[in-house]
Amino acid sequence: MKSSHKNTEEKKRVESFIDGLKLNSSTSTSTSTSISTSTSTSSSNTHKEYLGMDIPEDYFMNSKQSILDIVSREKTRPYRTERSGVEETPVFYLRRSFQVAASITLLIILSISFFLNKPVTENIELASDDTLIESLFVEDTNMNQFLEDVLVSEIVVEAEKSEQNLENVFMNSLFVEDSLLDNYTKESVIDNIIL
Amino acid sequence: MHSEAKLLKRLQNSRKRDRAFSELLDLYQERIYWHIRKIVHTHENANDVLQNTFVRVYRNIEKFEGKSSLMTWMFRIAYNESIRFLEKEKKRVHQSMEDVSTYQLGKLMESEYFDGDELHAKLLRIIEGLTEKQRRVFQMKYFDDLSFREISEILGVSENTLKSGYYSAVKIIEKKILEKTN
Repeated sequence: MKSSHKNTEEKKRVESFIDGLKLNSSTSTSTSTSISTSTSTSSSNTHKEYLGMDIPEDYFMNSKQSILDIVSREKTRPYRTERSGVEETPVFYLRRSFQVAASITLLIILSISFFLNKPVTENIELASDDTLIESLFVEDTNMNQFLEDVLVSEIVVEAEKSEQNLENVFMNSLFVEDSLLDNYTKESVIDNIIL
Repeated sequence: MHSEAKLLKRLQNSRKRDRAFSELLDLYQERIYWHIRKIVHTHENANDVLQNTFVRVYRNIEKFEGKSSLMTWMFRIAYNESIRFLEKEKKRVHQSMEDVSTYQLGKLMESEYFDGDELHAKLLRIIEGLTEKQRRVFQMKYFDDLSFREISEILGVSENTLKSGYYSAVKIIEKKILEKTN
């Protein structure tokens, strides 16, 4: 008796579902420019009746509140990732303000070191070349005489150096044995001449 | 009856947005929830996807140009979010998309938020057995009460394709449900 009642009820539901299928097939248009709430109120009943899908009590009220909470939190947070939907606060060194400040500081340090180093290098170069400094104080009319003097002094210095080298060769030869003397003199003199 | 254009205008005005958004939730939350629920099956999954959907709607409402209706735009976001959810599940459980859907259906039948009997389970399995396109168009047309034009805007498929898909889905369901009950 009970099972026959269950069967009749099941058949009724199947018939009602199939009627719904036919009804839906025949009506294929609906307006979308206006909003109607009637569909949403019957929506839960339809899903429960035909698909057995249930929801917790007062679900939509609670869900609305939790969505509004998420959205209000969203507004107060500065950064978020669109892709994951998860809000993130970046590490301090990845913040734009920090990156800009760091770049400016680095630029200032580089500029200071550049300007401080440049004159020092010049001083070293100038100090190493006395002739160049002296030339700055020579008047144009005396420039030829100055250059002549510089060249002569350089030639004299070079000549003195080579004389000294020849003397060294002679002195060293005293310590070399007789059999090797000829070779030594030749090599040393040739080296000295070439250099 | 409310005008969608007026609601949209308020949603795109930063001073009136919060209140308008609350109204938007009152109007569409339930429909969107059920749309999602049929794709992801369990209530817990649907709840997560619903939240993501409305957060996305809120974030992007300023950029919405009104090329489609506000409702179909939200349904499209909900549909994409649901598919994204299944894709994530697919990666997590290393199964195909169809298998993930069937797996979630199994979870639904075991869950406390399934209040169905054998007939419900049969119908759910029959719908699950349809092709992806047939299933989506059938669910949207029959349960979500959307027009073919609206479904076409949501899925980006021509109305004629949807119509043929729907009619073949109806035929299959009708045949199988009668077979199983007789």
